[in-house]
Amino acid sequence: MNCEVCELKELVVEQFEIREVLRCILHTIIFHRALGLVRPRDINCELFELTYVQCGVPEVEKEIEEKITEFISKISKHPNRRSHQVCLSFYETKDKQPAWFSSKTERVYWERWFINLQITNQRVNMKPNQTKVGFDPGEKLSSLEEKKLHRTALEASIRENLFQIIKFVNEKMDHLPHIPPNAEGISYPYEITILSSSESSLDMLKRMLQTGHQTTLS
Amino acid sequence: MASTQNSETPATEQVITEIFAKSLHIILESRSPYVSSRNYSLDQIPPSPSSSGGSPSTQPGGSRDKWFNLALRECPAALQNSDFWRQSNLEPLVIEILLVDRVSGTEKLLERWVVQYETRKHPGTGRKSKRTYRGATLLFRSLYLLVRLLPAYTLFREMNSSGRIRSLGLSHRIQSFVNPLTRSEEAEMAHLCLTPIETPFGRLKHSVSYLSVVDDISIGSELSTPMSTELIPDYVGSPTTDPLKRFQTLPLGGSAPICVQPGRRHSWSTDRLGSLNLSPCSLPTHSDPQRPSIPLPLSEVQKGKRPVGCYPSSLSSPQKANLFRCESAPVSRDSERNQLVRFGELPSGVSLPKEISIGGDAIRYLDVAKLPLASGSCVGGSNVQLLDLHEDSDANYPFASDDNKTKNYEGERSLAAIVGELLQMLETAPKLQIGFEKSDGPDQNPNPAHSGSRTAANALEELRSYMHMRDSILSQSGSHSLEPKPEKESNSKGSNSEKEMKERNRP
Repeated sequence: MNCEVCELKELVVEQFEIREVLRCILHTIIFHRALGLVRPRDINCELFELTYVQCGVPEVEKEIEEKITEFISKISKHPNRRSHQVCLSFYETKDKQPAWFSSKTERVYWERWFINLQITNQRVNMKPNQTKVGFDPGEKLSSLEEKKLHRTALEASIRENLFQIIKFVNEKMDHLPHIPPNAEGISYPYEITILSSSESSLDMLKRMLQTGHQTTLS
Repeated sequence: MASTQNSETPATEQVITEIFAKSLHIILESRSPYVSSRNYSLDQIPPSPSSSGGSPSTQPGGSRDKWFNLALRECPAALQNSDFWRQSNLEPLVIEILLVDRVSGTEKLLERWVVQYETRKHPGTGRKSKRTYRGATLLFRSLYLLVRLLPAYTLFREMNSSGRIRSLGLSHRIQSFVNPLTRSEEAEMAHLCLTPIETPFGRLKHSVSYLSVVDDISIGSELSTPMSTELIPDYVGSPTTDPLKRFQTLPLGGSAPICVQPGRRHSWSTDRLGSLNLSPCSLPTHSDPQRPSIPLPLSEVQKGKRPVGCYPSSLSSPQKANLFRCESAPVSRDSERNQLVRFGELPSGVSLPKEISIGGDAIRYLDVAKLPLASGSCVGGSNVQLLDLHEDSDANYPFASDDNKTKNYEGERSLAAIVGELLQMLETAPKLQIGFEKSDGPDQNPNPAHSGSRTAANALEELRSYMHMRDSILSQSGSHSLEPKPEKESNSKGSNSEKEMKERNRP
């Protein structure tokens, strides 16, 4: 089975935007892969003029929120590192020959999505001796303009990511496993992995190949 | 079932037919502002998903919303036009989304969606019907998201969220042929195609041409309608308003339609309407630009509850609601219980609601009939059903009138006549009659309020008896309040206590 990989375009986000951005991307991907009966739920972003779709399964929403929280806490431990990655993988469980100290089932990944984030903090750009009283109105305006520009650019990038997702799911369908009949909601098991800040997706795949991880690559 | 006039199996034919239907549903649901603003909770969707979309033959006739494992709410605009393309699956389904200027009547093409079935040149190389169904399932996930990513959806959200009557509106047109785009349209429109859905003997293609830039069609910068507006201080449902006053404060000068403040206890609340959630209205007043916007009950439903299907949009922030979403307010058709107040068209041409249902112990609902100028009704094609009244047998509308009257109403009666009729109805309503005024001559008044005067007279008598009782009590207490008496009492009490003390002190 092929393992299709989609590397999404990098998004430059500020700390407080991480949750909203990850919600949007993760829910969109899962909505496209929840091929059981779903009742879609429109979510209007609070930070952006954007509407994305959730599959409407509470367990999914809960897990995504937990993973985002985990991601945020991890990146806070590496403030100097700016590039981070979240991996959403879909897999099948297959039986394998039982052996000593090994599980009887293995996960065969058939699709992986890599969400790339670059965390930026605009406060870094501020002068250390600036206070509220001492703010130059001109500088304040420019920082507001910068924020607006950043927000607009990020919104456009998120849209681009969403279009990229639509394009990918429409082009590649043959690798999808069979959908069980009367499936409801999530039809394929998935996992959300927060890649360590020191490794990239390529590094992760290399590591998996070297350690004999249960990944089948074509 | 529409036929493709080729060798497709009946099962595939059915799938193709449902693909057309689902496409229409998804597109119109997010482009038809007033109709799609109706929201249903999950309670209205059968809880058991046993009849999933895996097998078309097992789908009950009324569960079309679950086809392709994508459960959608009803979309009347789609249902109205569902027969259009049923004639033949060979004909393309063309859905044009238009921006309509209600003032000038001009239209601008925002989007053109085309769903077309093409027969395969080399039959036998296509996929089985099961794979067709799966391909459609995947496509509709993308289509559902895509309609929300395009610029027209922003306009749709704006129109749904605003309570103002805008000069611009969204409309749609459905046809079975593709008009060639003009040069200017070609230049300013972008094009997208989704991967075709393969069938055993053909393929279904979904494509869209859309206006990629709608910044110049800003809703906020549009010209307002040439209507004067009035600030209605005594809005319906205000706790300070006299029940009669709410009819006196209706706008008569051609202003915006009547809106109901969200503070009303019984209006458009989730608990009252069950799954039908309506947004509260705010009066579109120019003189009070800082009128606070009111959080929508819809947002509460969306955030706090189980997924309830898709909502039109912009629900996460407090918004001024749209009067025209009153369409889904339940209306009791029981003539014995309902009395509807009708108002005529405003001189400016904006028609007020045909039917206003006011019932129960307070004003509960504001039912709005068709407002011809309230939406971007389609030109030359299928019209968007603006409003739809739903029946609610549990509603109590003491002022609801006969259905025949409301149905026969053509909006040509003067406002004064309607108001006069209303006042007459109120006067004859027994419970609202001022009994004291008519208690002087109950025998002389032949009108039905006679029973009310008796009731008032009885109440007066009872009141008088209470007054007598009060006087007697006061007189008794007053006699005790005189100096000798209380002293006597206190002295008597004191002597009694002294006696008790003496008795206790005795050995």
